[in-house]
Amino acid sequence: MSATGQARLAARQIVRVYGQRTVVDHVDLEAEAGRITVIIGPNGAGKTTLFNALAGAEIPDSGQVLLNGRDVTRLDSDDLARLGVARTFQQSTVFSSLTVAENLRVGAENRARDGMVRGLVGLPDRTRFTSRAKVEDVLTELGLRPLRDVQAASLPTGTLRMVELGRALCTRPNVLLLDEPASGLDDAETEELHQLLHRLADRGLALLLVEHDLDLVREAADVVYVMAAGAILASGRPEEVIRRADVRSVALGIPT
Amino acid sequence: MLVVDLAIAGIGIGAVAALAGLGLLVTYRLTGVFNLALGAVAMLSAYLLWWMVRVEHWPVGVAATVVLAGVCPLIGLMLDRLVFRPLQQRRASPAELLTATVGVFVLVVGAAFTLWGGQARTDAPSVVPGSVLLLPGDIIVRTETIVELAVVAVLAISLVVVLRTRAGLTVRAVVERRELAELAAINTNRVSAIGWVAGSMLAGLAGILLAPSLRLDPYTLTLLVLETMAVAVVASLTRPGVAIAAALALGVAQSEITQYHLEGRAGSLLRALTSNLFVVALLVALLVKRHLDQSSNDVGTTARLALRRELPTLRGWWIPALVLLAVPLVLSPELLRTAQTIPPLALILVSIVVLSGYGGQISLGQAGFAGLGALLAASLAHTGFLWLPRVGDLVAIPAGALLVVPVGLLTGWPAIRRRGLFLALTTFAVGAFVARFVFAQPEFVTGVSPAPPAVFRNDDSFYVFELVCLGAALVLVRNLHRGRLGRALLAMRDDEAGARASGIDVTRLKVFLFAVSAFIAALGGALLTQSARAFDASTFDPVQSLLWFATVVVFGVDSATGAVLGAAAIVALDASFRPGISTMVIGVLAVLVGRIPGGALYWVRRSFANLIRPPIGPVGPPVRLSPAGAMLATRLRR
Repeated sequence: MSATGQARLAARQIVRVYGQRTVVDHVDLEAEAGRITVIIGPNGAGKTTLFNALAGAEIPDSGQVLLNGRDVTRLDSDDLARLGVARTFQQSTVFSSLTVAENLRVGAENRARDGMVRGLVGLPDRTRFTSRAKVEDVLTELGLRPLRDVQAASLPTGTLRMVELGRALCTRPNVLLLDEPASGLDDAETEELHQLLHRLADRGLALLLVEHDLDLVREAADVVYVMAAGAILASGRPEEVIRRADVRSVALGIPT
Repeated sequence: MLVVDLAIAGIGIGAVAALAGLGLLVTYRLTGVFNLALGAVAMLSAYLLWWMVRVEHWPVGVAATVVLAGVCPLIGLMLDRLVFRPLQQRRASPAELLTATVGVFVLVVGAAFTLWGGQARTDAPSVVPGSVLLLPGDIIVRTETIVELAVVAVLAISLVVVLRTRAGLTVRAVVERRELAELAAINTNRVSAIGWVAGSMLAGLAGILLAPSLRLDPYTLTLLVLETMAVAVVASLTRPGVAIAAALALGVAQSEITQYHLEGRAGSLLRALTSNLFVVALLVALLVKRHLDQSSNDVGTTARLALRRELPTLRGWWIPALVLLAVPLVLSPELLRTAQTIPPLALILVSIVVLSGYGGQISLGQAGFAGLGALLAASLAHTGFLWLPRVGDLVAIPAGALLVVPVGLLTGWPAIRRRGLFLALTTFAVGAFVARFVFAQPEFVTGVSPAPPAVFRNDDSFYVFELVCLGAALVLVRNLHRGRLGRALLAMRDDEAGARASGIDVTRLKVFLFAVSAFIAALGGALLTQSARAFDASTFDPVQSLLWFATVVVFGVDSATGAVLGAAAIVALDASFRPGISTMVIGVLAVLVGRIPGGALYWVRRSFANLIRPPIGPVGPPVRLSPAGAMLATRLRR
């Protein structure tokens, strides 16, 4: 456990440089269990890069990523997924030739790495009963059951987001990283998403979101980090952070 | 002055490689297509010149002008208009574009085979008078070398000049972001057309200049593409200056090696280097160079070529298939002998389906795995291999195939970092490397006499044995397409980042897939040579890898059944028509595959399905265009 006691996923002095430009500049951040933590900031602030570093998709140039106090900085994203860090992407990465249920199944059944040789010789997968049950649970929870056997290639963007979220949930995460989960959703869907996020937090998941939508931040966030030009400018309770005029003008481009 | 003489001889080769390399770069930069078929265009030009001069007795100058100023630009325009522009207009994936170039390659090789036969001609006409020049210090320079160098110099200078003008800016805009350039009212189609024409002309020039010093046959000159690729990859596909320098340096170095002689194995390795330094450079550059594919956004791999899954799965299809495959048993002995090549070829094609169809990894080097499997199985059965003892001929087949697995792992290793184009090039380079340094080396292949295992000497029983092997492989392959493993592979093919985020160890999965594929290909290779009762290096020529890949794509890249059908089709065509026809047919179909997505088998099945049960039309009135809408539509179409 790290110094704060409860932290599940933490960034320590993360730096990421592209050529001459420092995209993420000594960022400290914590996503704690049972809380919804949101990173906000203008385009190009380095949010997604930071996100990729936390999810193992990019290795930071310096700094550490800690998962329950364990250094996971150099692990790949699949290692992290198996350790319980799941994520979604800004652009859909749903597997288009699989059905919705199969997409979720991929998430559910890869908690263990074995199975290639077993699969090749035709032995059934050891986890098939538990992963099947998990898929059914998540299908129900996200209201995707009617689309169970629909091929993902034919789904609209909003639904793809939910499928991707479902796939992430099927990996049984302790930490869930969501990159702009509300974009492409209509009002009703966004409202459902809020409720879902709260339910997940209540179950003890650590949620970390990148989000543009201030309404969502106000309604859903427990902690907000404001990021601009690669650095964290402010953090704290959302209503207080957003109320500050300087934060609004610098980070969100809202005139004072 | 041996060193200087050799250097001058090397410069000639280097200059031609530079020409072809510039052709490849120009086309790649202007159109975004890595034209594998470039060597085929060079070969075709050389053949046309030979035909005009030696058969039709035209003067060399006239013939060369017709070829270079007439035929080559025409080929370029045809490639642009008929093949690549339609593909790019519907935003085809890099895998589709690469497949189309493979299709063109196969088509041209097939056409040359059909028109002029497979025999080598040594009387390719030279466009430059064969005189020599005496430089101070008793250095002899052939006029050809000077002409080649001069052409390269002129091209390099004009390239630099053009890129600095406004036209150059336009070109760079198109190369950077095609869609944005279109928005800026740049005629991207014209830029592409220029790229194709210039690339074809350079390829033709290289082919014509090179032909007199090589023998002219459909394969040899075509593989100029290897030299070309080496040069282009060393230059990271961007810097013409580096390409020219690399070409000249490699040419000189290759020539200088000829002055050294070593004994034994090392000696033959050195001899092999004197004509294959470019292949080594290509392989090393592909394995060592990092940051090669940062600019190319190669997502999607072969997914767009793959079978769409909306058709109901057929049950029991294998019963008629088995009956069909058993038919040769009741046919004449000669036909049975011919049919014996179907199951091995099917195995090789299935190995491509596994890798490219199921896993999305393009492989253009399967002939290498197959040939190694054949060699190892034969050596193990007769003499033993290195420190390994002789084993029974039945054990030797799987044992040999197992020994090829490490080679598969080694090829799969770059796949961890490389995707799309550069992975395809790496596999092609590995295949070419094995062909040049193993299959072409007498001490590896002389005395190798593959024969069916003793228990299956009888033709009938060997054919049945082959079918059993194919069946066993198909069972394994089916397991790769279902359950957890099947889903993991499709996930990796559809979206690698998503697969990783779901906990799939993509790295291990890719390497595993390469190992399985290499094993199946090696098995097929062993049976193929056994059915022929001989090891023939040309069976495992790198060009074959391209033909086989094209066949798999044509019959449905992720269909194992399609692969078996494809093997049967190739063998049947080869048995019924003159050599080259089958290659040409596959080439035509591969070029068109963009228009029949999913492959021929899928197309046939869908058509049948629609016959039986017409697709349910959408509810509501059909679309009707108003006059204004019709006008807009015609303008958009233009």
